[in-house]
Amino acid sequence: MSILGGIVGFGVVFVLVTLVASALGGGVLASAARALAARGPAAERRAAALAAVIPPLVGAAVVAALLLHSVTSVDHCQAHDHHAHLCVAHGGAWLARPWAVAVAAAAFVITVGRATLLLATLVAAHARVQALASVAHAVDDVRVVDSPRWFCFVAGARRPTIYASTSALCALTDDERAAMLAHERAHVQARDVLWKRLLTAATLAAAPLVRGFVLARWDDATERLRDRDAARVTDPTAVAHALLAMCRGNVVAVAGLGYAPGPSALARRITSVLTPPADERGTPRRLAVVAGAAGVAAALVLVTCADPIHHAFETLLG
Amino acid sequence: MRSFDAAARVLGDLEQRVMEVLWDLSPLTVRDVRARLGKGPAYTTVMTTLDRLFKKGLLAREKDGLAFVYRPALDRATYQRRVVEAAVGPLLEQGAGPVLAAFVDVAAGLSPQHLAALEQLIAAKRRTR
Repeated sequence: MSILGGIVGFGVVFVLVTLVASALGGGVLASAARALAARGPAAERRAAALAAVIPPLVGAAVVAALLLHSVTSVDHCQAHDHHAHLCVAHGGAWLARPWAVAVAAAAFVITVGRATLLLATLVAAHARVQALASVAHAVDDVRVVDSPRWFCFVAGARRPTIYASTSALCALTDDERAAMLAHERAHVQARDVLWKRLLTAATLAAAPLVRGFVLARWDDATERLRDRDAARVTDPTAVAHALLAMCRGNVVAVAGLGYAPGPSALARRITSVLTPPADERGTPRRLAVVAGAAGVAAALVLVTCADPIHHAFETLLG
Repeated sequence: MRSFDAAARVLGDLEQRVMEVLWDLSPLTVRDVRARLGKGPAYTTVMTTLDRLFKKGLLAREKDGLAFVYRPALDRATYQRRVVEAAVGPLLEQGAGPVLAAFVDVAAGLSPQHLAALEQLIAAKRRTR
């Protein structure tokens, strides 16, 4: 029972820290939107990725520090008769706190539910992509699918592949077609589908609204970044025209389960590809360096101040 | 024929070869199909594969004496079109989910006025370059 109680206690800490960190991350991402936009989609994408990845890492680091402290420090269990404490050997008191059990159980159910949904989506999609591959014709690096629907996408995390419909390929001009395929090739080269899956998995324990927001920002920035990549090897106006042409072809509205760009998102993509800011180079690297330095500093604080942090959490959680 | 979504699952290598044989010439018995496949699968393997394809709704069969004769329930073009319809719709509906990276996710909400405005935006940018 004490081990189960300990799991509940440490689980509550992980849930609360991750939720607060993800809410903070989402807030920072939203408030810095204008500054990040001025630095270009690469910086926006990196910032969104950090906002997705850092919260569970912070939660895991805090739990690890508290666990380490409870295992390695002097046994102070007798001094804790006034409240439950974070200890692997004497955590039974957490089970007597209904709110703690409810928080841990709810977090467990939500996270497992999200993971199951993600897994089911990936399994079903894998079967559909395999079915599509079986009737597609390979033309260079593109799998051409005979279909009246207009589409062009990259599928596959391990072996990303471009699928394009005959309708889309035939309807676009040579320049537009080259721009669209350059965009998709940039996705393939950057392994964006794999990154998207990893970020989706990393946000399984994030706050509900923040999760969708952070992933949408990453998607939005990634699309604009790949538009820029395509513009470098083709022509910016060709990319913009290809975007418009594909929207005209897709007159059948498709309701997305996640982020669905509306007119403003498309306008932002077109504006972004036609007018890239001059100072975007190097910013993502600086952002990563700052985030890395912050991570090291946080780890040092966790190690050197493990004792007061441990007691602070115990007092906070009662 | 039952829901095509189930039939949209990938055909195995032997299933695909069997379908190709029957699309080229049908109806055929198990023995005929096996003969056209050349060396390789055993009689019972071909029989099981044909039965599986029948249960998937991709083949029709009728008794001819003691044996079944099989023919495709759909011609090749119809089959391929249905596979594409069954696969593409759900994939695109997932939009920017974790499955794929689409060039344009959705056109929802894009009225002709919006498209015209964006066209003007491109034209304006082109003039200023």
